[in-house]
Amino acid sequence: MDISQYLQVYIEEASEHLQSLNVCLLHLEKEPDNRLILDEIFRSAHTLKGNSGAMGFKKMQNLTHEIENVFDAVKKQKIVITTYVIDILFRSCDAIDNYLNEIIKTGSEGNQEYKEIIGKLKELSLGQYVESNKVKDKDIIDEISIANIDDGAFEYNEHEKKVLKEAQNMGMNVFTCTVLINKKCLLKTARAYIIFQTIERYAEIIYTNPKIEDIEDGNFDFQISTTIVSSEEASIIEKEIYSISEIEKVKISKLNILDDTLESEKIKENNTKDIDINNKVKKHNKHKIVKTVRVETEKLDVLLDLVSELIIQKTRLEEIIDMANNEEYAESLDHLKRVTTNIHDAVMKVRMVPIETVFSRFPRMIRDISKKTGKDVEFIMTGQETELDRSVVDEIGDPLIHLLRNAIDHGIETAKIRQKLGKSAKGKIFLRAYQDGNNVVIEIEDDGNGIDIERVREKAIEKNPVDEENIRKLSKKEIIELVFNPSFSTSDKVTDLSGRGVGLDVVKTKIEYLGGSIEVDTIYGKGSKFVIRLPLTLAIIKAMLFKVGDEPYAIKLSSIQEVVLISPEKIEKVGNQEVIVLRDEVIPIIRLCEILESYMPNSYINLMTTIIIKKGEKFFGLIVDDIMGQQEIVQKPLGKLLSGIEISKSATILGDGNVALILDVNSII
Amino acid sequence: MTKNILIVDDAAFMRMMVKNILINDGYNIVGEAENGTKAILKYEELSPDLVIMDITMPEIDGIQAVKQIIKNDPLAKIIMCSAMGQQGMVIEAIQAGAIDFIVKPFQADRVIEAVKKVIG
Repeated sequence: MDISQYLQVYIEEASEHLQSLNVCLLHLEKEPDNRLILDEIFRSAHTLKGNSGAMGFKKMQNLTHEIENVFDAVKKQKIVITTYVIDILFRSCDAIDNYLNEIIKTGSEGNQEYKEIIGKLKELSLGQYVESNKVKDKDIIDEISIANIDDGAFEYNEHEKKVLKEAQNMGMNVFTCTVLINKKCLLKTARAYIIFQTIERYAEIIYTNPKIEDIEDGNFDFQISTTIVSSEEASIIEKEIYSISEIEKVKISKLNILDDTLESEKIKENNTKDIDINNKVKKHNKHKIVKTVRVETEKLDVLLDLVSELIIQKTRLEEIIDMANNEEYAESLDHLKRVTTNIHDAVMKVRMVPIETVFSRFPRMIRDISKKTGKDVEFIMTGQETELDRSVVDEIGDPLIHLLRNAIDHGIETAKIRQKLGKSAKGKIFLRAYQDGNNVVIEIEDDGNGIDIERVREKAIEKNPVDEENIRKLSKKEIIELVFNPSFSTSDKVTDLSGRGVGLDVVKTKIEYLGGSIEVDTIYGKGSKFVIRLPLTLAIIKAMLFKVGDEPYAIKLSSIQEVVLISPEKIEKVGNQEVIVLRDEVIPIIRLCEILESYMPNSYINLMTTIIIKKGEKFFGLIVDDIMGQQEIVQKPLGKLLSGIEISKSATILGDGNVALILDVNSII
Repeated sequence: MTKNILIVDDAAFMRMMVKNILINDGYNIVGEAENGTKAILKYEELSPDLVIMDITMPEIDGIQAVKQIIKNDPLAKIIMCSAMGQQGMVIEAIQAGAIDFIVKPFQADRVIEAVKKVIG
């Protein structure tokens, strides 16, 4: 029977169960005696075991079986939940994750055995664990991180088979020897050369994968598989290879080439004949049963594109019908408008995905990092149900991870220091998401030591001694902005987590690429708060259309505070900047005709139309020549040829066929 | 027992950097040289446990120096320093008898790893 049709469902459910296991383990760590969590974990492991068995994934089944045993022992009170136990369970989850990834990639579990972890699980469940045993974390970590030694790499031609068989007949050892080079190695070919040189001192190399030519050209990943013939023992060769630098892992196994059942293809586990298909897959009873359909993202993109075109045509019709002045036409058009808006909303909703999919891996990551850095951290997430367009969700993960790592690494102080400062020993990191108008806002806040403004100022002066005087005059807000500059890091030590000084500028670039913005506020000694704003809807926006000179332009409605008329006498000057006073606030104003070099032919100006723009907490005014009205427009990016224009990154086609540039208010001031 | 290392590079800055990394980890810098010729002489004079040598140098370059030093002392241990684009020369140096290589710009932990593997 063909089980491949169930593969998709299996993968989805297994992923859900794995996620549940991770979340439960985190809770369990805080409440080791909570029976409900124990039961939940047991159920997840049990279901995973059953499903995996049904699909013929024996290794997965075995691993989850051992996990189940551990929890059985816990329930029977044979063992107590300690950090050590939780660590082993987390590593087991990582192993399950690796199996799942392999299944997603290839449809089979792969060949990793994870003997180390299974051994430790067995130890635990049999109550054999003794508290004083020091965990060889490194071994377990090695097992996990080297899951990518690809064992299916050996395919011999006739000549090679003949040579190997002869060698074995003569009593020599035939080994497969796979070497994984550290991914940080910069000169792979030279490293490979040394590896071959070393092997050749003890053995003859009969076969390599990839081929020698490919290795010489550097055309290989970081793994070199060889089949060798030697009179030496495997352990000696292994030891010699490990004495080379930048070697991540060596795997030598004896090869019995005379055995006729040797297969050179990867064995697909799920083709074994004795599979008993269990159609009733147990559903996780916490989640409500939601009917889903998998859709390729490309199809959604096409749909969104078509909706955009539809809206353009609708706008065109609006214009035409306006001029025709026909009651019936107008009524029909009204219906059309409503339907197009609804379609647009519906398509956007389809693309929306709760930000939880990104947030969910953070608690585990924070736990691991805080253990690694020895900092005690409480991590509070809110707003996971906030939805974002799926393409934004895909990209926002990395910047958030960087900011969170920064918060732990540079923000939160060690417990000792915190206590000295009178703070709680446990640092707090908040991750909040919520909707604000047309944006989704994500905040990362910590109560650590904040950013040392003066240190940043000194660093800036160091880098630009010429500007010292100006830099000293910069306000706190302006100095803080500097942390987003490339090559700006005030940390003395470069840790491997962050702090190479290339992080925050990359974060900012990524966020701006997504159409968003990032700001930071900080109080030295108290903490910092990063605020990221991302647009909800990507292509279709509500905008204000206006004329500067004779040309139409547009600005996103969400950036606009209000439109006022001001008389020229009210314009004052502060330094070189023209300003007006609006309800007791001094607001800088900019004459767009000057920036855009588009002037009205007649110079009789009575009252000047000014659009007041809101940027965060600042306001500024743009003087334009005429307001055309509000409209829903389709944003089309300008494209590569015009990408150098600061003030405008996109444009739209108006109802009359003209093109209006959409101005980027962030670049005007 | 403290291990003695000879550092060879035509850039004083480079020699200083490597020296600092190694001293911090307990090694002894027994001498420095700024070209191949001086390297060969210093090796005779000081018999270091390890040589860390740049590939491109004036006078005799790194590869020639390796050949000569190995000729005088077949058990000499030499680690080459190279830049990213010098893979071919690195391989030549290994063929000439160098035991390992490190790539500039240096990461302290990578330098230490290489040195440890060779002389402990």
